[in-house]
Amino acid sequence: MRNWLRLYIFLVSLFISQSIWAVEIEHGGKVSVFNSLYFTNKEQGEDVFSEIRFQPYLTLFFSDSVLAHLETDLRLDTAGYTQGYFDDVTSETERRVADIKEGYAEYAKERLRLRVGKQIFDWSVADTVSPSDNLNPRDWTDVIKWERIGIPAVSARYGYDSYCEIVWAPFFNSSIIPKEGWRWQKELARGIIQAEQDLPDRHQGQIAARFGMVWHQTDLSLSYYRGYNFSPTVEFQPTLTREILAVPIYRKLQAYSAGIAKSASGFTFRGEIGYINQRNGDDFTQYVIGVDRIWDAIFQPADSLYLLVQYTDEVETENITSHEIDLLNFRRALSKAVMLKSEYSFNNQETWKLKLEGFYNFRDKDSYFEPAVAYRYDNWETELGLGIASGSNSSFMGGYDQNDRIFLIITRSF
Amino acid sequence: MKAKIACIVIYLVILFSLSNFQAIASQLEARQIITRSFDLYRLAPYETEEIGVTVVEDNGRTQEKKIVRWLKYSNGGDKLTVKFVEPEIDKGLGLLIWHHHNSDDEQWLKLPSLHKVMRLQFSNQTKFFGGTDFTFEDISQLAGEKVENFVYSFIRKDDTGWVIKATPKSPATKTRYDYRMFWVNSNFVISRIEYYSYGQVEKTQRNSEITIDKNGLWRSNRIEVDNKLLDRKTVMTVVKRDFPTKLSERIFTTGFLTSERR
Repeated sequence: MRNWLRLYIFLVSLFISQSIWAVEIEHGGKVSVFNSLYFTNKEQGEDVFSEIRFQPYLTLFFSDSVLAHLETDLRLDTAGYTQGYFDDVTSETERRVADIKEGYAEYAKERLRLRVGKQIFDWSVADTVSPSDNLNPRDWTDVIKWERIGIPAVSARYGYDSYCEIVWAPFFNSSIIPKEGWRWQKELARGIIQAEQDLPDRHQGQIAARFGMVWHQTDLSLSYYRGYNFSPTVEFQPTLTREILAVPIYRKLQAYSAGIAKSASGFTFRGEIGYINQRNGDDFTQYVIGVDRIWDAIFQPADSLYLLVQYTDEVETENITSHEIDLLNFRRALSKAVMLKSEYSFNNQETWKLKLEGFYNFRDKDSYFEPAVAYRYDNWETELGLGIASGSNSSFMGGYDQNDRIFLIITRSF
Repeated sequence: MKAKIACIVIYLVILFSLSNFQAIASQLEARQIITRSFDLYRLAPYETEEIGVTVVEDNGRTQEKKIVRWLKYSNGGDKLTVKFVEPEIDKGLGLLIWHHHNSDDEQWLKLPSLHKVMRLQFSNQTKFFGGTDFTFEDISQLAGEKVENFVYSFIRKDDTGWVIKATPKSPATKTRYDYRMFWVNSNFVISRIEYYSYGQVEKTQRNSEITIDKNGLWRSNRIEVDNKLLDRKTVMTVVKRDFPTKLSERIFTTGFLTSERR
């Protein structure tokens, strides 16, 4: 048995053994199956993709103030995107077959909440695009169904409605981007080859702070981040042959951002603005404004419709990287873009839902739309949808237009 | 002749004033009863509850849910935090409501799939809450009626109690219902509420297994809602209830919704 598997089993066993000290135990999780059928045959990647995923969690409550939470993530797929097991606190450049999604101890007393361990942070106020949401790297194995990757960190939150939160993550954690041969690998121009990610020293940490408050029925937040960009940019390196290597590298950056959310007359208005200052990279101000609302009793007494519309754009203050060659920068994929998210529930049990989400990018004239139908019964949830991308090859989504697909997700919670 | 006319005018003025006074007195009395009922309901400053919820659909399908909720009652405004414990698919679903007495409520929602809390507004609050037959308006009003938004009148009064009709004071009052009828017993306990919309009863709420402490603080341990509009029934059974003298303010913040604690 390999060492990392031993370590993984040891850590999970250690956690479970602690349950004898726990006053209360809560456990559960979900099993899901994700299937995709791509309409276009592509040399790289499979036309049919299936993944099975098992995500059990265990929470131990030791007292009113102390708890420990562990969520593991076991996944296998037909394309071989998963490699290895949890053997290190930092993330890899590939998904692991067995990983710890989150695992932390929490101490909370009155105004103070301390957490130590692998955590996921979402400081966004807006949807999908957020200059405030910098801490966690992303898993873009499937660019559309991206996920945050947990990072080992120490976080402290102090306060009630007005609060301050500080996070220190001692290690660099890389995002996962599609590699050569993967279905969602970006098609680059002829003669350019995507290289392995060039990762900074793992002991490069990051720090972030946020101040939030509720003021006059408005949520306000200010945040600061210093660390690496979660999204790599491409650096070109010549080779001895005529080919050019496109090397994804991570730039150091500082981000200053502010967020606001306000409800009025049945609508909720959201906005975020952030200044991103990158070392040896573009500096830009990114902003998102949006509005959402829930309507109910539209056609039937218990139906409802949720609708979110957002606009996002950026203003470059220093341009170093050409936009045309920066197409692996997922963070900046949406500029001058309108996003839509809608969900219609036929009844208040939300058994059947119709969903439509997507965006149109005015800058590059590319788009992605995903209509879906979801059915929920007891602890089962099924979603059947279509993913349709369009745009020129030089645009962000246009580069994925061979990945139009139909997908089916079946999830059972336990 | 002039004296006669003057007498008649004075008589009419007195009569009108008296009838008007009676109407005001009656109005005040009905409103006072509702106010008294909710004052007694809100005697304790804090409350925690574990509630089992059974929803029976018209096709016989039954859904079991379990929620935990924390309440803070204060004259400045109430705060309510709800976390879903069962079914498994809803674990991680949480809601925070700040119920302001003189302005719109504030609401935040935590979805199981997200690591953040979103401020939301459920338009006119008529959306049903968590798959039950209670709307957000019901949940908010059941913790403390916004009496200034309604006109209360007696439908019936006898030795056993009162039946009081609550009608929105103005079209600006945000409510799903044309009016509601409260059955209040002599201990100021609300034993039944009928909700009317479009001129007919939409649902009937029956409060049973009533407990009253020595100060008059009352609670129902079983609330049954018969929803005629959706041909459905919701039964809420209190599994556990406490009135702690103090609850941490932390519970009524968005940060608590992102915690595993309950």
